Amino acid sequence: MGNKIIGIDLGTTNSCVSVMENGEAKVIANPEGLRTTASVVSFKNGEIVVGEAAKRQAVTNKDTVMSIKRHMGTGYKENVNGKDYTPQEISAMILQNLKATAEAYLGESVNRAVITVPAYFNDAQRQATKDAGKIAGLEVERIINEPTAAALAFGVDKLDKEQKVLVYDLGGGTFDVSILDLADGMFEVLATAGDNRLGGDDFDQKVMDWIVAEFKKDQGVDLSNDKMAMQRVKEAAEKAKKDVSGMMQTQISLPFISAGAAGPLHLELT
Amino acid sequence: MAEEKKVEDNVEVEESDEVVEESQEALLQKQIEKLQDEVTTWKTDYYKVFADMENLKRRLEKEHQNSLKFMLQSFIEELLPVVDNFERSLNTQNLSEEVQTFLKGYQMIFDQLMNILKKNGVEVIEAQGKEFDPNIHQAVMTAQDENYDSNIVVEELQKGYKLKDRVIRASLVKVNE
Repeated sequence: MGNKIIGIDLGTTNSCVSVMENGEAKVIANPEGLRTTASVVSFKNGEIVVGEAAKRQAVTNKDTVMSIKRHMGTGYKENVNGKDYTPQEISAMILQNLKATAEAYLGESVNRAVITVPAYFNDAQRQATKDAGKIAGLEVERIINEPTAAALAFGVDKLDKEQKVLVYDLGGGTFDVSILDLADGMFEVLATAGDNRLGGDDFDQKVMDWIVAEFKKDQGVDLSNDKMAMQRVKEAAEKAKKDVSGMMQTQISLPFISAGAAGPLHLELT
Repeated sequence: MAEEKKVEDNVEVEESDEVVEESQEALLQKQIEKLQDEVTTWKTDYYKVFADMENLKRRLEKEHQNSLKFMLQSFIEELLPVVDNFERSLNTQNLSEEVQTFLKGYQMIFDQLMNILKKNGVEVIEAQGKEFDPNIHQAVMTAQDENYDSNIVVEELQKGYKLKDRVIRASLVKVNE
């Protein structure tokens, strides 16, 4: 009835929008069928592109803005085609895109939202996030700490006792750890720390290095100079990482990865 | 028994106290108002629930259609690396004549596979020589090639695929600056 509130995770690399449905948060897939949208904005011929399509042109289009979240609440300006944009304005473009995704799903207009921010965000950064929402046409009902949102999602608040909770958040490019105190249904962030340059991508890199080293040892061929081969190694490393999250071991197999003097070379590791 | 049955008229009913009557009327009036209010509330609630249900029905129907349409998506996504590897094996150079004859058969098997995929809505994305389109192409590097116009795909590094109208994997391309 036009009064739904959407929940937004406005991330550094990816963002996500959800809505409460029968007491449960439901993640809304974007038109491309993805549950997360790349936090990337691209400007081209006066057109603003958000998400995967913006990310895909990052290499060829210098007017592509990534990781704007790192600049929230600062005086930083993004200059595109001679026009200055504040981090709030760039973030608003991402929020607008998420809003449209939610509206398409719900079939009604949405103008209220709850947005999560890192626990370490200061008042200026929180205010900037709120402003971004306003620019995007969203009344920000509340700003919630990311670790608090995570704890709520796991139903920690339903446990009927006072306790402390440790929340790890390993994102694509950042790693945050927070300690929360839960008492009488209220959360308080006691401490938060992290490394904003460590993320899942670093794990991929480690696996990639290992694959390349193993292949060199076995076949005497260095794959790191072969861009196409490295692309495949990267994908395989990512997949292997995901696999071992749920299994004890996995198989990496990259047939025809390279051609040696004696014919095609294959890669198979366990 | 001739007992006279005296029907006692109830005097009180006929001579009903006016004050009592008035207050009763007021009471009834109040009750009517209360009920009317209740009816209005129920009605609004009903319309709300009805509208919500209609919305839900529409949404579920749309979602159902979508999931039917893209039922095969994750399966095909997983199959794509197999298709890639198949193609790589077919592109192997400097083979003996014997192996080449063998490869011809393999090419036929590959075509068979691709035909099945095509029948199920899988489409190869055109890239080479086309204008770079971030909706379907992913730029991984740039090139300076005078033989091509600016923003044209110079080389396709990995094939992209569409399932019906959805890009399930963008082509990896080299774009001219």
